[in-house]
Amino acid sequence: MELEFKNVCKSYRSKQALTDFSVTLQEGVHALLGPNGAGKSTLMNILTGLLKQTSGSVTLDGTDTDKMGAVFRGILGFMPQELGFYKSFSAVETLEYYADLRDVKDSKKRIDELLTLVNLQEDKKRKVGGYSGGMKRRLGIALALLNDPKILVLDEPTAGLDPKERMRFRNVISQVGFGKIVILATHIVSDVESISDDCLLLKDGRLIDKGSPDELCVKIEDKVWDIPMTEQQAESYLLTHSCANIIKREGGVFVHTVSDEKPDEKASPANAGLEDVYMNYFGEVTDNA
Amino acid sequence: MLRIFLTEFKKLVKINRLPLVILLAITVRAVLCFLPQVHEHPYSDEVYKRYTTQLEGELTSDKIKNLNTRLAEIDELIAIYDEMQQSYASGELTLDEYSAYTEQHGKAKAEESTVRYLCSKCEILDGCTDFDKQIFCDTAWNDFFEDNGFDYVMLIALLCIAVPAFDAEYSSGSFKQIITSKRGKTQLALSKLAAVWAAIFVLSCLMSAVMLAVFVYRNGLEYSKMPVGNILLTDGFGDTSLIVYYLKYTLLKALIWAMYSCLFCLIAVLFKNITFAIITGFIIGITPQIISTGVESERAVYYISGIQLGKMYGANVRLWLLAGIILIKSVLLSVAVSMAWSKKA
Repeated sequence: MELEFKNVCKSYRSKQALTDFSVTLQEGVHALLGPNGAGKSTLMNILTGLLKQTSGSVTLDGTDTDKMGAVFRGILGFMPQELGFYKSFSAVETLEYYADLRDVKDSKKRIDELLTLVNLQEDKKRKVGGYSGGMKRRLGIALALLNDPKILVLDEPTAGLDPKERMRFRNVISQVGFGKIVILATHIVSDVESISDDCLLLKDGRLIDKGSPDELCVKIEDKVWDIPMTEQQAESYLLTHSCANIIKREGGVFVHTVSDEKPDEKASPANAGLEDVYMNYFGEVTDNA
Repeated sequence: MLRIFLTEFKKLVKINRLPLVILLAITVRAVLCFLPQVHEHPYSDEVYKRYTTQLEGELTSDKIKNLNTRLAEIDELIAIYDEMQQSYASGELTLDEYSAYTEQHGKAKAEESTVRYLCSKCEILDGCTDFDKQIFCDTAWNDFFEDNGFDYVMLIALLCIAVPAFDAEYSSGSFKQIITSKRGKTQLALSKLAAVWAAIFVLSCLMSAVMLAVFVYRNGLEYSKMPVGNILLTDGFGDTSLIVYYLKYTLLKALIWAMYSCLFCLIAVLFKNITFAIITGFIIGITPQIISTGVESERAVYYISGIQLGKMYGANVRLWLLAGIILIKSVLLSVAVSMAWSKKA
């Protein structure tokens, strides 16, 4: 299975949201990384048919996804950034409703499996209106997986989830992602670092780089530094350098930063992670909320 | 398609509280039916009942002749009143003779309007040719038909059901998940619309059934098989009985209300604001009733079908043509709703 974006552009009047985006994706987990306004949601909306691209094409195994229509939507699972549910429906009723819309066979069994997977069995009969943000996210994930999609599109799936739920989410994706094309947009780099096969870095509507987390880390391995400082020095350093983290470990306080040049005489090379890649390309520290 | 229609219908039941709205509407309608209604008749109910009971049955020339004779007697009794008074004052009439006259005069005055009405009615009926002409006490049926005017309860119930049907996705934010489902936007919109259409059609039929049930409870089904021409005093309905006429009218009304539901859904989709859609829908709903007071042409119902919600249909209305036009309007509105919904998506 091969999903190909070819020279996809999207513009809104004067604003260019996506410029000449071309990439070919195969089975695996693909993380879309980029700051707000980078074009991640636009790309996902184009893929899911919610938006029409200004030019370019999206094809699955050579067939235009627009032309595939219901066939494509039948193999698509989508979780939008802003989730909405009917407040007076329970989780089971919500899933039953969507199972009918998606023509899911043996829906009762599937719904039961998914409720277990996202840990909503105990609350399955409660009205969704009373759910917490995290529970709604989990229900959204179950919804996206309802038709056992071949292409799974998740827009900021872990926003609002607590660390335990995020870990559960990563496990879920690892469990169900096999044999699927999973496209996952997020700010939270740590959520995709361990599960993504490759990362697409988007900035101002353009694909600026792509590769597996390891490949991307190798590209910047000589740019990552730890600078030993006092706590006060570190705090004032952060005021002038946005691309930096304070790390406290045995031996004192360090400022972990990304820089083309050695930033300080005392600086020593450090191991590069996906967060450093993010800092390098986007010039800001990622949101670890 | 059936599965998704049933799904949307279930959603309508659960989210829009369809059973509650239907129950409330039916209860209010039943209560209103039991409230005393004022009906103005061009005759005395008591006298009319007496005469129609006496003359009940096929309208014959003898019956018409007898009625006309009685009307002539009444006219004469009333006409000589001054003369009789003078005769009594001048002593030409004895007290007994004058008392007998005043008694006759009083009776004539009491019966005048009723007998005059009956005579004119019989004259019109005599000119009709395409149904079995009968004399019977039709007051209850006349009043019942008169009470079948524009139903504000139905309009409010319709707004409560139709407008939120398309608003639920906007207000809940579930739009994206829904329209990226396997079913296309058009199929989804049409299913939603079909669910609303069916609910409104059924509700309208139920409302008419409640009215009929209350009528039957009070008056029984006497005369229900009489040709409707006897009440509407016109040819053109053939032997269509009162009950069949009412049932046809019920179906016609249900079709019009269901068409209105498509219109109100379109308003809800276009404006995406439930309050605005309800207010606009209400105004649009009552506008044909306001317009109809100045419209004489029977043809107007083909263009503005809502007019028919305020009155029973006339003999000149070609029922199947009107039903066909309403269905075509429903289909066109459904296409417009589907397109607008897809576009707004």
